[in-house]
Amino acid sequence: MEKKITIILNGKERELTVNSNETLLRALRDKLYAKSVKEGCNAQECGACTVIVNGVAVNSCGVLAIECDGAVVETLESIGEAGNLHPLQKAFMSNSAVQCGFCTPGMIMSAKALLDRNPHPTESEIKTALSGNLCRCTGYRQIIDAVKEAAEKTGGDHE
Amino acid sequence: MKKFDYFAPQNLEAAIKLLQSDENRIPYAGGTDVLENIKAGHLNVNGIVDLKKISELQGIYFDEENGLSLQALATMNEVCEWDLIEEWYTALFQACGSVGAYQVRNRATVVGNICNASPAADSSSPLMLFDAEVEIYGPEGFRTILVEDFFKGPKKTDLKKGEIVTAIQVPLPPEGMKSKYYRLSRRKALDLSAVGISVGCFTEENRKFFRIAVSAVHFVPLRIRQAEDYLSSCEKIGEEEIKKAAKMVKDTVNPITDLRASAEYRKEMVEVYVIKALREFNELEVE
Repeated sequence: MEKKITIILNGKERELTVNSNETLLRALRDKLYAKSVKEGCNAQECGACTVIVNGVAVNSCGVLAIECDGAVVETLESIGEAGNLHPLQKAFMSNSAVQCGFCTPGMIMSAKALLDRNPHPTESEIKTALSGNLCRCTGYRQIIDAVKEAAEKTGGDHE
Repeated sequence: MKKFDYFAPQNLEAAIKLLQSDENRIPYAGGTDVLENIKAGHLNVNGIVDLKKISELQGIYFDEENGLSLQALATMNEVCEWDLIEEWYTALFQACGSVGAYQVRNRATVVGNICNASPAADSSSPLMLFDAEVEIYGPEGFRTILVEDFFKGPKKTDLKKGEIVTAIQVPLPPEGMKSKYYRLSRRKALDLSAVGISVGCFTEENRKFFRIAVSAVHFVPLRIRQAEDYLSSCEKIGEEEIKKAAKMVKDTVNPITDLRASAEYRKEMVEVYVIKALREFNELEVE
């Protein structure tokens, strides 16, 4: 069955028609052109498709678009702009946390969701927040360091 | 993905009517199992009934008289981020925190975990440890059943046509009871468990009482009362008694071989984990 829904994507109201069996991942990529959201496994096992829905990090391949009528959705397109990148983006670059780049949008969205709720995470809390994001390239060290650095830059005073 | 109808009822009655009127419809909350089963073609449904708009199914409640009430929509992260649950129901707190990964736990529900009824369900052994009850609502009204009796077989529960689980009620544990969840899996995240055990210990009138429940090693999660009763009958609990109790657990379970572990390995490891757990708890000062 088809339904017309409204998603507040990165601060803008967007209207679209979706099928009941269409994932949020496919609706974001194919109908709203949020191409930062990657399909890695389509089985909720890799985190490449991670987006933030109503403040909560989720695998968009595991959410139906039709459930998201009226939902606030954030993708990587919502942060930073050319010449003025978000601290997370800057830290990923300066820490060599990007190799092929395919896991990166999902990693950054998981990291952003973490820093939004916990501005001073411990390394253990960072690892838990990123536990659902797989990377085949880096070995994760650079990514964890990048999130640490971004937390220091955005969190204000750090113990 | 195969096509299906989508319904989002605003209340319980409407949800039950929708489930009753077409037996090929299924309740849907987090969808971490249901959606993947539909994608893989393991689940063939005409419609899904999204429960997330039903406000009485939300929330987790605790008080020191009635214990813990996990409503149907309570997610794994809601459980494993509440320090009260860590204090009173440690094994449950740890088990819920071991499921999948962070994003999955934002959607996965404890009720969904038991309704999916994988014999490896992480929340199953802790819930059984605490004698939790399942609250069910259907065309005939409300009923309750012990979590232990809710599991009928792999992926099979006691739910009848048109029924949904509305909550899990976990009574207050005996005073001072300590518990822990042990899990054997190949990865720290994004993996099912090959062996899961929950062990609890409390003291009553200067005697130590143990509770033991296991998952992933039998066709349903199990509470091993034979080992519990044996331990509570011992005057003193030392290495010999611990090994005897662990052997009872090993001899009771009948695991299968699958891609995560062989049956032989599971049998060996459930014994290893029970010994480890009992040793840890035996040394603990339990008030």
